[in-house]
Parts: sequence; structure tokens; C-alpha cells
Amino acid sequence: MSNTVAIAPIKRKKKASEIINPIVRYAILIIVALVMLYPILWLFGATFKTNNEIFTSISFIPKRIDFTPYIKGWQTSTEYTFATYFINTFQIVIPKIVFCLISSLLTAYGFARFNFKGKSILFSLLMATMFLPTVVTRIPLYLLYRDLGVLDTYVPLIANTVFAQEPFFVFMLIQFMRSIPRDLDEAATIDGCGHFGILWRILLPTLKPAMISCLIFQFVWSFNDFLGPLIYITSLEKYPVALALKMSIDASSGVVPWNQVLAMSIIALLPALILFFSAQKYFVEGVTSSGIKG
Amino acid sequence: MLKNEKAGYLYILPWLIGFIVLTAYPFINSFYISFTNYDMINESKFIGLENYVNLFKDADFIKSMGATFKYTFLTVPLQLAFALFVAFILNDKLKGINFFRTAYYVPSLLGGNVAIAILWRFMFQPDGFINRFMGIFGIHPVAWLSTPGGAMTVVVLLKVWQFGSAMLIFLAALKEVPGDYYEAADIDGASKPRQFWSITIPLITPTIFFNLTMQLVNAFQEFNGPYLVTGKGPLNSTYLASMFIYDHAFKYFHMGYASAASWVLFVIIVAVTLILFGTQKKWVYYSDGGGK
Amino acid sequence: MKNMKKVIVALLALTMVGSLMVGCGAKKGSDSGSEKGGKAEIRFSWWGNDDRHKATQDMIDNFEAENPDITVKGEPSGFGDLEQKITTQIAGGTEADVMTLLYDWIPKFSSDGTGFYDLSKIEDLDLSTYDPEFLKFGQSNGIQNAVPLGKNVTGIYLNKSAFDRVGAEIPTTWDEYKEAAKKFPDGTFLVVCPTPRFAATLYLNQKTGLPEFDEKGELNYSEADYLEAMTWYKDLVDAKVFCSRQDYLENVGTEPVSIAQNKKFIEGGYVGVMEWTGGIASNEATLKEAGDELIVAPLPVIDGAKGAYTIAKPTMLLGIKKSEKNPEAAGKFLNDFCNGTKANEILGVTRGIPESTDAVAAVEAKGLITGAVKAGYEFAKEAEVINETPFYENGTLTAIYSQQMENVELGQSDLKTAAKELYNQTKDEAANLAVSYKLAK
Repeated sequence: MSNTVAIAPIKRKKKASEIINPIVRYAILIIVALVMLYPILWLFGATFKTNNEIFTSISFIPKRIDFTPYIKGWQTSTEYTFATYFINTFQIVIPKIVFCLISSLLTAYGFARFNFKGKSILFSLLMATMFLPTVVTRIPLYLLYRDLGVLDTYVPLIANTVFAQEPFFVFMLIQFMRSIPRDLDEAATIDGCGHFGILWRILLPTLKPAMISCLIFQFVWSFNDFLGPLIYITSLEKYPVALALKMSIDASSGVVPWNQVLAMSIIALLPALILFFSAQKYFVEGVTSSGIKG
Repeated sequence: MLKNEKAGYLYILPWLIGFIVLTAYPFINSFYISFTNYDMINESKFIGLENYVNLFKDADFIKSMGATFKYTFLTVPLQLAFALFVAFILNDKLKGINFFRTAYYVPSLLGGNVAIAILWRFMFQPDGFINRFMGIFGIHPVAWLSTPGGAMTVVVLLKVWQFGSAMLIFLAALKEVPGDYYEAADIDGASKPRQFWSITIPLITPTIFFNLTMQLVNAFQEFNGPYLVTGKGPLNSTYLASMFIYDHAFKYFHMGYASAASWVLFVIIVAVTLILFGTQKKWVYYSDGGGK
Repeated sequence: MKNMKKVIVALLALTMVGSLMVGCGAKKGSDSGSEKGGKAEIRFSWWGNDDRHKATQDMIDNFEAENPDITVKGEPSGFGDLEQKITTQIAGGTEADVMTLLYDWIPKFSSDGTGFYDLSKIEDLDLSTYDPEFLKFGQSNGIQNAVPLGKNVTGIYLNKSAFDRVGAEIPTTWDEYKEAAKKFPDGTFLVVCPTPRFAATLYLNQKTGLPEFDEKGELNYSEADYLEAMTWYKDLVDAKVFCSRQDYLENVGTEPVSIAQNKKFIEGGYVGVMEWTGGIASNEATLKEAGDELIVAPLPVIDGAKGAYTIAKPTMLLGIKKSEKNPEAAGKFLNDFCNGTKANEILGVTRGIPESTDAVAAVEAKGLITGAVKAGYEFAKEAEVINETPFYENGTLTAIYSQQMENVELGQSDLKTAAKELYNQTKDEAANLAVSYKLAK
């Protein structure tokens, strides 16, 4: 069934109705984009609002524009500013991305392109680690890191990625590698390439879009991770942004300056937005020719 | 397939070490705990199958499993279809395409941001945007947040709306479809929809399979959406399994019980995944030409 | 081929060494209660908002200036997922030396009184500034595990401006509430009760003069009592006095939360709230921003009451870690926090009004108690209270009430069945709790 890829040509002229009018197309794109963007517009508007305005108005237009929440939010009520928290976050996120990409790529290559004994069992184990809710493994893991003496450091947050313990990435790369025809590998072998050469020179260039997606995911997820730091990081000077953002949210203890909290969460979104926007070129360029010839 | 066994082991070595050192122990430990009355503070006692027996007598648990299944089978197909459709549209060289892609990814970027919690409640309140919008067409206002069906709809829509990650993976896959295939089809005069069904879809089946698997696994363990917007929901309609597990672990300190519930969920996910992997041969096309 | 293998091995080695390097970059896990060159270092963890964080840090700075041989490391946090953090830490024995605690954490973490440090062993801590009866809130198994910081009492707080706008008097009895409700537009409710449990217990407190559970965790109320309370509650819901569950689901959510940031409360659709006195400050601030005034309403008393009772519990407690290595330094800090004049001038009412006579004198002298908060303080001081046990804080028990009332309102059940379910489930859960809190039979 899957062999339908061999294109069955259908002789038919293009009808005018099949060419979507670009205006209609843009209209749809813009309307959907508005639905998608509204929360961020609202969030941005809310950074200028008072608490009551935030909690009663669905409109994103604030009554006044005043950047004090940004300044005050940045300074925080602690002895550190958000600059510290951003630096801390990048100290976690950047190693995580680097380790995750390397270790996941290697592991995926091993599973996708090699035959070895016990492979299917190991692959099942890899998948199975995703199936158990993390809530119940958190305490034993915490005790493990405690005994290793690495609590209140970034090690527990990063260690997983060093050892490719995030099966999402491994599985994703496996699937992408398996869409790459093997004839390429064989051709390269004949040309004298070793297996690492195949990975490096044949697979990696083709996997670029997939690797970029992995990078984006890892960035966004690590940046937003709240529970990990909450449990492992106790020193204020080591708090990442995600922790600092929620540090003042306690409605039971009095007034929460929501506009400051939201202003900082807007700032915290910027790195991911910039990264995503600039990574776009890897998904567009050369759509019509990929360079893979069978 | 490369026959070099040693090299295969070598490549997966980092993962294997990590698995043994970091993952296996907590895993096995939680399995053991599921047979005890561990409460994280006092000495625990082995109580055999008691937790499991109680689980199946616990109406809250049964109901939360039902809600989880409902949630999963509603969100997964909807989100997948939506993500694929949008990815296909956005895989073109339109002007400003970068902007649109970024815009469509924004909801996923926001994740569990507090703005979402506030806005989604605003939208679905009795006099909220959705009801007013439907009013234009003469549709009676719906009690979204105070009826079981309404609350489930709200959290399902939230998940579908955050389709960005699935979209991104599809985009990456579409990028790998060799352009020559389309060129050939164009020459043959195949229409765009026709090309989509006979070229694009078969070539990206491994990615569809990946997204489907991951969506299922995630949906079964969903926590954030209901937690942010509806809580347990009216008559516990959006009280999903992972919320049940969380409550028992950290609110009521029944870690043993929570572990047992987790392992029941685990077995269910394994079963569903196994079925899914079993169907692979029928519809997933791997260009590497091999089964496993 | 061979070169490639070397490359891989090198890469793998690099990956692993990398992880170790990250480990080296960061400091080793902080050993709490350690002595560094004759200087004691203690960790203090608390939750709160910005104002509280700032005041607490200032108080710490002041303490360090007065006690140059002690360093205090602050660990502030928000309220979200707090129980997960503290549970993990206590399970690992890595909690801070001094920490703020919720009421039911005492029996949860210290059912036999050994889960926290025995405060009676600390000489520097002066507890004579507290009412001995009040101190019992911090005891487990007769051992003083924690200092209860302030008192929380259930009351009703109303938006006076909203009453003025419709020309209604502030009601004093439940019948007057029913009458007043008629003057407000449709869809308005006079009092939000975050969970029916609040109102029901208030009713039964007054009716029986007893708390819901006795010290051994036995239920003081009968099934008939519950039915009576639920019937009474439902009647007031129908009269638009208490907010209906359906309305609560639509406008607030399922869980009992503060409504200080709720649209309907800000806009006057909810005219008041039944809540702990500790919640007055944020509710007052919200209404003030909207140009309205919040007042503490006189507590209505039911017909045939044994007394004008209301429910009391501590706001929060302060404890010291079980395996404290430096009890003197920790005790000194705790004492300054609870009783210190300068310290409490700085802390103000960021954690509610303190119960320690020294602390409250300092706060009052500085004129920090004002407006509705002051009224709430007077109210709490005068009120005839029934002290609820930590069972009252249990989430499952509260959920049972909400669930049963929801079943009735959404037509899944009738009052009689609901009361029966409520009674049976509460009894079962209380029995479970009694076991895990190791209450003597």
C-alpha cells in the first residue's frame, strides 16, 4: 500500500477553481493569526493595566501607557534583577540544547541504522520511559541527586540531556532518519565513508530541519520548566527566569503586582520568539529541491 | 542495515548508561512503592495488591480514567489533522510566511502562562466572547464552564489551539520531501490536493506516526490544560488521571496509591502504543526500506 | 574507519566530561546549619508576594546587623506547587533550617511530634508572649513543633458601596440577608462561599458548639446535622444569598480560592465573601481600586444557636527543621521574627496580624493596622471561636462538600442522599487521616 509513492500520473488540466485566490488565502491566514496572537496582544496590553483592569477586561488596549511595571518588574523585590535570572536560565538552557542534540542524534543513529542484539528490547525500554507519569519518579530521583551531593546546582536539570534521557528527541530523530533512503549510505560506504562519516556527511545535512525543531523545542521547554528548578534549586542567586516569574504569585498574602509579573513574562517570551523567527529559513529555503537524489 | 554490532552499541551507549544510572532506579522504585503504603514521611509497609484493588473500587479513579480516554480520543485526531493542514498551507513560499508561522506557534510558546488561564475563562464565561459571537447567529448561550460537556470542550479546544509543536515537526518533515517528486507530478498535471494525498502524505507517514504516538502519550498524561482553566470541572468531568495522581501524591500524601495509579496508566499507554506499532506495517512507509 | 571510531569515543567522552564540568561550575549542595569560620549560616524559606519578600529580606538584613555571627539565607517562593517542593525536601531531609508552614503540615510531617525540632528545647525562644491555648495550634503529640504566627477567623466581608447603591441596609441576620438579596439585580449573589464547607461548618459550629472533629479525629456531627446544614445552605443559595455552585463554576472555578482577583467580585456581581480574616487585605485593596469600600459585617447567628461561634485556625506557623545542627542560631532568628520589636516594625502585617503580644504592640505602635484590616482584627479578637483541628485544612474533606453540593445543584442527587454521602465519605476519610496522623484511639 505504501508503494503508492510511485507517482500515478493523473492527466488533468488545472482548473481555475483549484487555484486558490491569494486574497482569500491571506484573509484566512490573517484571521487565524489573530486568533493565535490575541493572547500575546492581550498579555502585552495587560502589562500596562492595573490589577482590576487585568481581571475585568478582555480588550487588550490599556487605559494608559506607562513602562514602570517593566522597570519595577526587572528590578524585582529581591536583591537580584532579572538580568541574573536570565543569565542563570541560559546557563541551564544552552548546555541542555548542546548535550541533547549530540546525545539524541547519536542514540537515534544507533537505533535507526544498526542491527544489534536486544535492539527491540532496548528500544521498547526507551519508549517506556515516556509512559510513566513523572510525578511518581520525582522523589527517588531527588534522593539520588541528594546522595550525589548535587542539590542546588544545575546538574540535576542538565544530566538527563547528557545521556539522551529525553526519548521524545531520540524517537523523533529515529523517525526522521528512517525517512532517508538507505541507498545514500551505501553509496557513501562505497566512497570510503565510515559509519560516523555517513552520519556526519550524509544524514546530518538532511536532518537539519529536524535538528532545528529539536533545538527550538528544547529551548522553549527548558526555558519554561518550572517544576525542575522549583525542586532542585533553593538559592535565590541561582533561580532561573521560570522560577523568578512565579516567585511573587501568592494571592493569599495580599496584592500581587500582576502587571509586573506579566511584563516580565513578555520579556521572557522574547528569546524564544526571536529564535523561532530566525530559525524559519531552515524550513523554507529550497523547498523545491532537497538535493536528495535516489 | 549496517551490520556493525559494536558500533551500534557504541552509539546508544550514552543513552544506555543514563538509563541504568538515572532512569531505571526511580522507575523500579516507583513500581515497588505501588505495593506499599509509602507516604514519604513515615516508614512504609508492603501491602501487596491493596492499592490496586482499592483503585478499581475508587469511583473517582474510574471516572478520571474515563475522562482521560475521552480527552485523548477527542484531542489527538483533531490536533493532528489541524497541525498537518496548517503545516501544508504554511509550507509554501508566500510573502510574510515567516510571520504567519511564528504567529501560529505563539500559543504553544505560551504553554502554561497565566495569561492563558485568565483569557480562556474570559472567553467561555456566560457573557464571554464565544457566547456573544454565537448570539450573532441566534445560537443560545452555552454554559461552557458549568456543564460536564462544556468544560471538556473548553480543555479540548485549548489543546487543539496549542498545535504548534506538531505543526513544526510536520514542517520539518515536509521540508524533507524531495522537490523533484512534485515537479514530476506538476508535469503530469496532478492537482494540488491529489499531490497532497498521493505524494506528501505517504512520504511523511513516519512523522505522522511519530506525532500520533507522542500526542497519545502526552494526552494520556495531560495535566496543564485542565489545571489552568477548568480545574476538576463540574462533576469531575475534567479531572484527568494525571491530576488524580498528582493529588494523591502531593496533596494527600498517598504516594503508594499514586504510584499504583501511575502504573495502571502506564500499562494502558503501553497497550495503546503496542497496538499503534502493530499497525505500522499497514500504513507507515519508511524510505530506509526496512522494518526493524 | 578506525579514525572514525576514535572520533566517536572522543565525542562520547566529551559529552560525559561535559556533564561533570557543569557540576564543578556550580557550588556543592548547601549544607544547612553549617558553621563557616565561627559564623553560623541558616536557611529560611517562606512563600509570599513581593511586599512580603521585600519586608522579609529587610528583616533578615536587620537581624544580621544585630547578630553579626549569624548569616541567614533567604529562600522566597510563590505559592504554586509549594506542597510538592516542601514534601520532596522533607522526604530528602534537605528542608531549610527555619521555615513557614501551613497548619496541616504539622500533623502531616510530624504525626508523633518528632518531624520538626522540639521548640521547648530552645532557650532563646520566648513563647510567653503567646496565649498558651493558642500555642496548641503548633503542637503535635504534645510537643511544640511550631509557633503559630497569627489567628485566622471566619467572617463575612461586604462591599458596602454596592449595598449603598441599591439602598439596602447591611444585614445582621440570615433573614435580613434574604431580604437584602431581593434588592439586587438578577444574577447577583450576596456572599461567595469558596466552598459550601465554610458555611456548613459555621452553621454546625453555632448549632452544636463543637468543632467538626474532636482531638482524636472522631466526627462530632451526625448525618442529621449535615442534612440540616445542607438544607439551610441550599435555602440561602435559592434566595441568592450564597453564590450557587453553578455560578461559582462559571465565574471562579472548582477550587476554593481567593476572589480578590475575580471579575464578578470587582464588578459588584458578588457583593461579599465569607472568608478568613487573613483574606481581608487583598479583598479590600481590590475594591478600593474599583472605588468601593469593604466592611467587616456583623456575624449572623442562626436560630437556636449555642453561641455566636465562628471558626478559628492559625494563619501560618514557623518551625525549625528536625535535624537542626544549629538550634541556637535558628532559635535566635525565630525569636526575633516572632517577638522582635524592630523586626516586626519591618515585617508589619505582610503575614497578617501577629499574635505575639510584643509583635502586635510594635505593629500597632507604628500604626500599620488600618481600615478593614483593623476592623477584621477587632472582630477576630472579640469573636467567640471554635478551634478547628488540622483536619479542617484537608483538601479531600473540602472536596467532598463541594462535590455533594454540586451533585444536588446539577440535579445528580437530592439533599438527603447528598447528606448521607457527605457523612459517610467524611467519616471514612477522617478515619484514614486519623491513621496517617497517628491519632490515639
